[in-house]
Amino acid sequence: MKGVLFYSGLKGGTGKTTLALNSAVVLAYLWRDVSQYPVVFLDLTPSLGTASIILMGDPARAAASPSLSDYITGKLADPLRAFYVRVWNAEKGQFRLVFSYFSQNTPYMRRQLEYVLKLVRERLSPLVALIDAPPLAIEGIVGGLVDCVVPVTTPDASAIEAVRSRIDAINAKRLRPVLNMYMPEYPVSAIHAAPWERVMESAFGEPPHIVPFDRLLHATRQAVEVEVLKLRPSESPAVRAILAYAKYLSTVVV
Amino acid sequence: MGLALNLLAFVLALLAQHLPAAAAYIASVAILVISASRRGRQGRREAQEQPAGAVLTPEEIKRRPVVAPEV
Repeated sequence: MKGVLFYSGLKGGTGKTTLALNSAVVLAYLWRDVSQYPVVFLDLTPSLGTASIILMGDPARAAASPSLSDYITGKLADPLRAFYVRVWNAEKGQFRLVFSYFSQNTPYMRRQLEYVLKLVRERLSPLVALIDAPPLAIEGIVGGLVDCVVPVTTPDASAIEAVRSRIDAINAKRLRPVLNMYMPEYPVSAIHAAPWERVMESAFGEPPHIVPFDRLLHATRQAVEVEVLKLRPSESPAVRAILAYAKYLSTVVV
Repeated sequence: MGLALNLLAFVLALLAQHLPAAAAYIASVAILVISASRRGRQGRREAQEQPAGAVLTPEEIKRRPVVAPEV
């Protein structure tokens, strides 16, 4: 099992959850015949992250169900009892995503997360565990526990700096950076006096994968749905870009 | 209706009933042209009602079936 962290430093609202969740769903579909539970998705956001609400389908249900918060506070002895399976039916067959989350703001330690990942590896044997990191100082907790890290930013000087300045503390292989919510009408950073693509390349050592700004993604979020399952690539340039990044992940993480 | 009349005209022509065949043929062509014109107007009206770049609402997205996320 490879652990992949989606990371934006201390900056929120960069589209990290959208990219992480959609990538997890695409890989779960891609590897549906390879393994029973090919992908595990961990939403580390305290007090119900967006991904956990989308996957549970209802905030009230997500809040009331056992979560990793119950393991951390000692109410659950086995953390895997806080894991769920979401199943979808597509034309070519059924596919499933295993996931878990925190329903409360329960601070946890590195050894607790390490134990959870160890159990996931031993008992579920997924190909990958995709982890949606909250915009908190979690480098000390996840550092060294994951194999790869995906830097996720927006066309914003502080968002790029927030990732660049802290990502080395994750101590994992850095994957192709993602420039989310890019608007071709505004291709240049006035602060850097350079195109955003060049700014990203300078910060992370390689050109970014661009996910354009797309109103349909925002509408799908309002519908509490997973974008790649509801929007066709032909109608959404952002979904096309997310699918392309998931394809890239499928080639580099296993 | 137009196609049926057209077929009837063909049958009448085969039976050497040239005058009725010609009448049926002219009537069928008129019906086919009028109905094609109506369909064209209806299509243009629908296109006008759906403005370019219209955004789906969350409710419309919710009602959609699951799309297989092929890469």
